[in-house]
Amino acid sequence: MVPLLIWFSSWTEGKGMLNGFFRGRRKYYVVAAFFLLVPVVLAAAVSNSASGESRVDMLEIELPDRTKMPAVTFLHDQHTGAMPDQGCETCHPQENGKYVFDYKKAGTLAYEAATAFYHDDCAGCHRKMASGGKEAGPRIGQCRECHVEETGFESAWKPIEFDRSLHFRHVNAEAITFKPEQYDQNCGACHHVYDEKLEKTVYRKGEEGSCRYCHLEQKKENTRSYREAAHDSCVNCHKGLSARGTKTGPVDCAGCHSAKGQAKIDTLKDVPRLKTKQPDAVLMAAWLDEAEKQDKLPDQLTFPVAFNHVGHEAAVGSCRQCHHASMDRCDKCHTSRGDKEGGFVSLETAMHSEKSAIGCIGCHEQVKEKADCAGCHDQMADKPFADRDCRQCHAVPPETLKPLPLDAETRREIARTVVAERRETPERVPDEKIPEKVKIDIMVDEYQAAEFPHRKIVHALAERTKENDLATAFHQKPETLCMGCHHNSPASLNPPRCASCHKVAGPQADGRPGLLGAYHGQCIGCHTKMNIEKPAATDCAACHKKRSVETR
Amino acid sequence: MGITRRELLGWMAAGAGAGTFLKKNAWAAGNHHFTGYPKSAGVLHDVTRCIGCRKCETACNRVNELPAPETSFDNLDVLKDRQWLSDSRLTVVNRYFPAGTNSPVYVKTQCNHCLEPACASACFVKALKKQPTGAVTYDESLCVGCRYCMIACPFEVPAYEYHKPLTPRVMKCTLCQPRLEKGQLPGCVEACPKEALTYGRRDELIRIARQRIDKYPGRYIRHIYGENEMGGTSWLYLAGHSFGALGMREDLGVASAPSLTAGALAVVPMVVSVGVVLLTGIHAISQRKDKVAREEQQEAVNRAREEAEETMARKLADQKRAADKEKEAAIKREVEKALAESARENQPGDPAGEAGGREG
Repeated sequence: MVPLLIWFSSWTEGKGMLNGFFRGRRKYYVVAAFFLLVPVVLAAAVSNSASGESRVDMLEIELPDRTKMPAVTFLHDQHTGAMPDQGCETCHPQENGKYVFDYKKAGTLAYEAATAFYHDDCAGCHRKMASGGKEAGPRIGQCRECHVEETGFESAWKPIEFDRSLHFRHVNAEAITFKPEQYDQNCGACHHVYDEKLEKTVYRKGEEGSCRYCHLEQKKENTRSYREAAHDSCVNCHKGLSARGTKTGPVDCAGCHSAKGQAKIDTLKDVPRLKTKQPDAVLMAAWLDEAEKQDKLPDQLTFPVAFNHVGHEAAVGSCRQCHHASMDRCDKCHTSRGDKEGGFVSLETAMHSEKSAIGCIGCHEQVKEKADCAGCHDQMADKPFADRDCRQCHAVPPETLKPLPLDAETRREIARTVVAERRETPERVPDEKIPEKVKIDIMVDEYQAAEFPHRKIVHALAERTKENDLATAFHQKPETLCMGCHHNSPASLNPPRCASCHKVAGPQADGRPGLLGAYHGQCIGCHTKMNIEKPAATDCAACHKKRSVETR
Repeated sequence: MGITRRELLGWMAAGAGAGTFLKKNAWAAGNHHFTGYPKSAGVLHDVTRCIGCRKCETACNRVNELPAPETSFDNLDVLKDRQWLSDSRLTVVNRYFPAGTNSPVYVKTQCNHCLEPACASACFVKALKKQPTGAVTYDESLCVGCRYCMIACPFEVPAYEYHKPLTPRVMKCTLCQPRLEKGQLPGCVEACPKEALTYGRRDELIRIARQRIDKYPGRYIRHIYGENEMGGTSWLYLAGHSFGALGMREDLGVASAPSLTAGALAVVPMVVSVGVVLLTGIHAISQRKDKVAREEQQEAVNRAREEAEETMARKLADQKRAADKEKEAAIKREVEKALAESARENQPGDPAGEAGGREG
């Protein structure tokens, strides 16, 4: 820049332009000014952008045409917080005693009318506040105060899951009632279905499902979006109850959608089972209906799965974990071919996909990533699907399915019987069969032999997995737990030593680490995944003391 | 300078021919994809296994007989600051906290022993050479200390012994070439307790790396850093986070450094050989042209002068003849006049007949 300016000044002088404007000392003043101004300008520009504050109440006012000005981001909690003495009716009209969570019904206006309305209303209220001496928002004319491309705020909005704990608290709430003379539970207070004939929503007992089966992310023809429906239902009810002084849920954005707000919500640890007509166990055999019609078992069949429904109810956050689109049987939409209703996902993929947490295997894989499980399971290589043992789940022998046909109750009974045969508590290897300590001295060099607390570690693993029903179901034999470290060989009470396969010389071509890498990799890897802080990975002496130079 | 057009063309062809011989090596890098010497070795660094214990740094220091460090290698607190390669640290371990994880990730850095090294390409004395074993070796007896290699390296690896004014060296990892010759593993590979470093043939290492990614897809990013970066390096990396978050450049592209400069460099011999001859020829031609023009001009002048002289001579001769004739005529007239006078004189009384004596 400096040479350029100097050259420029010489050039103008040479050409006799501007009387050689940048002549003499003047060019240096120009350069100095330039270097002073640029940082100032840049700092100003930078400071105008993202301050990085995170908010959960950012609502974008969506109008169809955004080409003229950027959309306005309305901060809801900021406004409700600024006017605590004013109620929701300031902005939200009431219909049938409930608030309509659309700003004064502006959503029903056409584009021109809507813009005019927002301008008059928002700026008008700001003007009123300002004239009352209070701090207020931008006035009309301060366009770019509202219409900003980048607000500088970061959204910390979190969706709130209506899990089993919250659901139970609502079911149990005395303040929520629905025709108590007719129904003994208050399901109808929230649950409804759309009746085509009556052209309105009615409550039908036994057909309760998740709101999100009909109320989807996007608004449909005559079905509101999930967001609209949920706010209408939930916030209105909370508002009504809080007006009566009853302890109830939040009414502001942050109460449900911020991390802090969610942490404040009480979560029950042991949620009692939901009282609907769900089965205890399910016999999963997609071919069974067809077989019953033909009154004989097919020549080629997959053994049915005895699915422990009640056990899984307790394990998931909400029914939607598996019943993601409806409460029906999986194979109602996921046909064996993979048709449109199932999103072109075949039944086999739906059940066995390792990637989706909705299916069986995918969900189990997710559970195995928890710290209690990952110590062993993270070190296990991905198994190709063909190498998995199908009989772990597909275990119902077809002989039990005679005689056909089987009615619903019989099917459940068969499944229940098979499930009952599975152990409920893990069986442990008796202590006398577990070596207490193992001296690892095979590679003694810089360090002394390691005194490996073998039994203590087995106990720790058993402790950390004993409450986990999935672990209990799959760790069928007591020696299965040994295979966490004694891997790539059959389950046995006398498994091979590490050095049998991992060579002192070093890693092998098939990817097998050498003995040094195997010991450190297995031990340190397990500790890291199970969040065990002591001993630290880099604290060598904690596992094997250093050898003094003389004794080497 | 007397050079004919034919001679000029001949020289140009000779120059071009000589240029093609010189050009061959540069073009070898230019339009030919070098995938490494067969059986060349490398090291696979599995970042997910590294625990930042710095045993590799200790071993490197010992094996290369480098000066003792300021803070002992057992001190892991230094990892809170960025560690840099230097003339006494041929490899360093750095600690990173990538977004979305609260546990640290450790990465070992050293010379990557590129398949087509930029440093070897920049070195005009061939002090840095790519060996068929895979290592990029440095010969201090050839080095002139220009430090072009330090500028050329895309990974900013070579360090310099600035503190030694008389015998400074460029310092970088040597892949423990002397140890390899004895059948031992590189110092760092042997020392790593987690087997985060695996030494072997480069193509084997790529196979092993792919196998690891397939077996543990949730653990690794599906990319082997160094497989293609800068035309491929002998040091390969596997990681569980994006390499950019681990202090490794992701903007290098897959073209090797020599191939980027090969085009321009390839033209130099051509320019030098053909260009010199061409320009000389043009010079000769224009000189010749001027000379010929001068000569022709001279000739024209001479001719003109000659003609003028000739004309002048002729005119003079004509004039002389005319003058002679006139003179003769004048003489004749005078003689006749004299005769006539004398006859007139003689008529009346010519005494002695002298008038007759004057006849003739």
